[in-house]
Amino acid sequence: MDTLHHVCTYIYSINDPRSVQKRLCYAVEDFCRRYKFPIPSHDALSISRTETGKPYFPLSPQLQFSISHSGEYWSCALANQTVGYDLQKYEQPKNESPQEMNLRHQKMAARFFHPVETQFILLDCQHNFFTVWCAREAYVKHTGQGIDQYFSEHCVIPNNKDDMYRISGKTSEISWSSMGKFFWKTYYGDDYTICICTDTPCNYTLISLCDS
Amino acid sequence: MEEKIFKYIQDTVCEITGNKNLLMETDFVKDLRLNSYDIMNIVCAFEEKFDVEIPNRDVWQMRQVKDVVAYMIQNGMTEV
Repeated sequence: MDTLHHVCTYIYSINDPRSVQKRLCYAVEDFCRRYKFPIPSHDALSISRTETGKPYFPLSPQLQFSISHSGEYWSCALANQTVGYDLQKYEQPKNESPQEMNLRHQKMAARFFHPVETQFILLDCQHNFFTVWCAREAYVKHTGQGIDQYFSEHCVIPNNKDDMYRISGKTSEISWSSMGKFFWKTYYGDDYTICICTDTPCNYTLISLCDS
Repeated sequence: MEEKIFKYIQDTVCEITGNKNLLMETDFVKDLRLNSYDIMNIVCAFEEKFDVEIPNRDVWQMRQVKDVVAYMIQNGMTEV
């Protein structure tokens, strides 16, 4: 059995005819085969939710997962440690100019983000907004607390100028740590930002199932 | 008043997400497939329009359009 930490993200078309349970079962089987973990029976993959809504496998706690959807995709991350995951489409609304979109994002940041994150967004609003958004979503899904009244108090960006500049802009496959968690960000296609939050650095794999 | 509020919600959701066909029973996540980003954009539009701050804990209680209508009436957000 593989003892390293792994995260695989599985990306499905949002119109995939399989149910959420079946998509997750497929991902679990692939993940277990890939890293030589015992494959649980389908009965052991029933889904429960915590009080705050975080989904989990009560009968297979060795397998952790996190779900996200945006635009044309539904996606899940499977891991052998606690994981939070987010995927978000960058979409320029037809009725908005790029400048207006940046302004809207700056207002959202002022409302929902930590002041350090708001500063980070000003370095490159177009790309950094989604880096912060996805990292925040991945973080609150990892902790299971969701978007609650403490949402603005977390800072998912390193409070250090060198690291801040390193992860700013359209940087693919980049990782950093903040608040004792590890973040990994990449892009899927031209329009989607992906971020994963874990307790330790992991081996990351992205699997597209959109044509299967 | 409910009709006016419903129309305002319909127009705001359409402007932000492109979804046009709303009913009182429409569920934002299950039916419209909105995610947190879409929902927070809508919240920001409401907050700007009514000059209020909607607590995050209240946002996730509103699953259907009718929940938003009831919340707006209850919190005096009726000048649409």
